[in-house]
Amino acid sequence: MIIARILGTVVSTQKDERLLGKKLLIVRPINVDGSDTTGYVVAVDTVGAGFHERVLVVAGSSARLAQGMKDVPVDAAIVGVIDTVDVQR
Amino acid sequence: MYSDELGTWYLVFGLWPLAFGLRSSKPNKDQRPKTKDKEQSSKHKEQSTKQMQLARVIGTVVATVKNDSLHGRKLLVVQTVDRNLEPSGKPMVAIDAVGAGVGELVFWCRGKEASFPFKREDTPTDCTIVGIVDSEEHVTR
Repeated sequence: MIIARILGTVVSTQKDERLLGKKLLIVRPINVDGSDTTGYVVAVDTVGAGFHERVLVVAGSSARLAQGMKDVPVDAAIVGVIDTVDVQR
Repeated sequence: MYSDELGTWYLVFGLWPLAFGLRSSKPNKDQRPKTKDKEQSSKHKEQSTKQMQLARVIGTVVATVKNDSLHGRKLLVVQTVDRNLEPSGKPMVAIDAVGAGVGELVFWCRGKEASFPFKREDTPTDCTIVGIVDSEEHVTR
């Protein structure tokens, strides 16, 4: 799983019918210290996350295992909203 | 008798080109597997970064709002390490399946297999800690 920050939304009318009602968000992977990295991922929201929140993103086929995502054609899903990240080096 | 001799000469001379042909075609055959090996080794390299490897637990993550299927799971930040146990690569968030703690050396797996320690069809994780290394002395270099 990666930590990411929500950057924006995606609106799509014509999509696979199994994606109906799913919120699509643009997220950017970030480092554990909170600094941004490059690139972005379009992920399906399963928890109701909001703008600029730090979230947990699951990628790959595991994204389909989240509740409510069975047989949905996704490979990235937001499965948690992060409260704190505590890293000791 | 004459035809027999002719037959043996024919065999001896007739088979030479075949032998050469085989020899000359052999290096090609050797080359092909080599390139394949190279591809495979690079593939293997890629896979080895994707599959089970060692990491050090460097922190914890707290998430109150999460997918129902993740309730009660411990989230830890793991930093992958190389063969000399030096940090390499980016830290990732992993679910704990064995009860690991911060500072411990663990091994973990990525991909769909990461959900196998739990209810397989019900735990959305692509990164799971599946074992704790007893001691760093057990890691042979």
